[in-house]
Amino acid sequence: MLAALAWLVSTGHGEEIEAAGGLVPPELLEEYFGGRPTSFLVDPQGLLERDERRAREEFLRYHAGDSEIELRVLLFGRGQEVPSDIRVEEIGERFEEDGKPAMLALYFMGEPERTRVELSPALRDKLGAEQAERILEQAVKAAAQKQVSGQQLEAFCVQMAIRTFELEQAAGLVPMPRGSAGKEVQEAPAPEPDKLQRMLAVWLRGIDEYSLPITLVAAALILGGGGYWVIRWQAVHVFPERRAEPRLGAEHGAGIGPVIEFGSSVVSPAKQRDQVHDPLGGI
Amino acid sequence: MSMERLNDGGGLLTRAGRDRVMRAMRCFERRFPQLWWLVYTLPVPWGGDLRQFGFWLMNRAEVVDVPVGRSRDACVVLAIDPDIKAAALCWGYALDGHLGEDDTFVAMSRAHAYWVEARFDDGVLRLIEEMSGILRLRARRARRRGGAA
Repeated sequence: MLAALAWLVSTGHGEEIEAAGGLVPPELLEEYFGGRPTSFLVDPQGLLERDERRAREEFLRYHAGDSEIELRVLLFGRGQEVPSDIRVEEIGERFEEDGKPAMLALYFMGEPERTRVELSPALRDKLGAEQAERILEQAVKAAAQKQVSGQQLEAFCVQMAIRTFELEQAAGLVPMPRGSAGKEVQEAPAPEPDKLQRMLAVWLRGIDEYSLPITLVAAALILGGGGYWVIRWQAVHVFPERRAEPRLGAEHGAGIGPVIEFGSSVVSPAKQRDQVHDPLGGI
Repeated sequence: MSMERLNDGGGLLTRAGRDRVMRAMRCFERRFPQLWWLVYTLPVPWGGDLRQFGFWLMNRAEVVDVPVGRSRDACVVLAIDPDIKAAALCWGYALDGHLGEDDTFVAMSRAHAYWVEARFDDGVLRLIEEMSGILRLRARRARRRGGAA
């Protein structure tokens, strides 16, 4: 087994040990394909570190408890090949001994595109191979977006668990959502937000790095303008106190303004102005 | 002759119109704590000259509701004669040197359009508004000049 063990090839998240290329060591074939394994993640070569293996195992176990279809992953090293005398098609049968449908993934570390998926007989009868291939393709695509092989495995498992729900519905293991009978299962649409939420979302989207200063400046202008208007409205105007010399014998005032006539709407005010050189008529 | 500072003897103003004019006069008096308005709408007695009648109102009429603390010298008189369809403006000694015939004519011409349509209350309001603008500038100028007109 030591000869088959791998060496450390990467560091950081998803730090794993990868096996050398070539055939799977014969002494490990029994652990891979000999019988029904007790774990959901089969890694006799120790390709994953203990913590990471435990995390993936717990995830797959949780999925098995939550789903009608078990997902089991056989983990192989980069460049490894399954011996040709192993009939992978028959492997799924062993995982259905307790009657629960199962899906088996042969996953090659660092090479998600080489992954093979086998269905247990009950599933294979209900689903076509294309269904499994389709979700496998989506899971591989999700895994390929990661750089580190450990993260690739994690993304693969998560995506497969999500897509397994489609298989459950297609196989009739869970009731189809209303209105989608006979159709391909689609993502449930997000609930329609109410009008207030939409308006709030639009408003919040508008608050970016430019609109916030603009809003502040506009608010300052409005407040400044309002303050100026209030100050001006409250302003009091006082004339300097002084006593003018009485004129024309008047006791209180002799300021004589214009006399304007408004008898005609055609003639301008200037022409209806009654202007005389001696307005008081010699008083 | 005894009268109130808004004397609508000619019946040119409705009740609502009188209230509006009275509110405008109080607002003016709040902004100009020395000044006050006398508005008179009645045909000139004995068929005299409107300008002379305004002068007489300024100096001889007994106004019963002069605002407390205001001098008769700080009065602005508006006399409207509905018979001859003419209006005159006079002012007391307190505004001597601050008002002239030309700028008060501008204010009167603003009100002219309303009076032509017999909207006397609107015309008086417009006149008070225009005079407020003119007097505000004159008061500011007088303060800058240190009391000299």
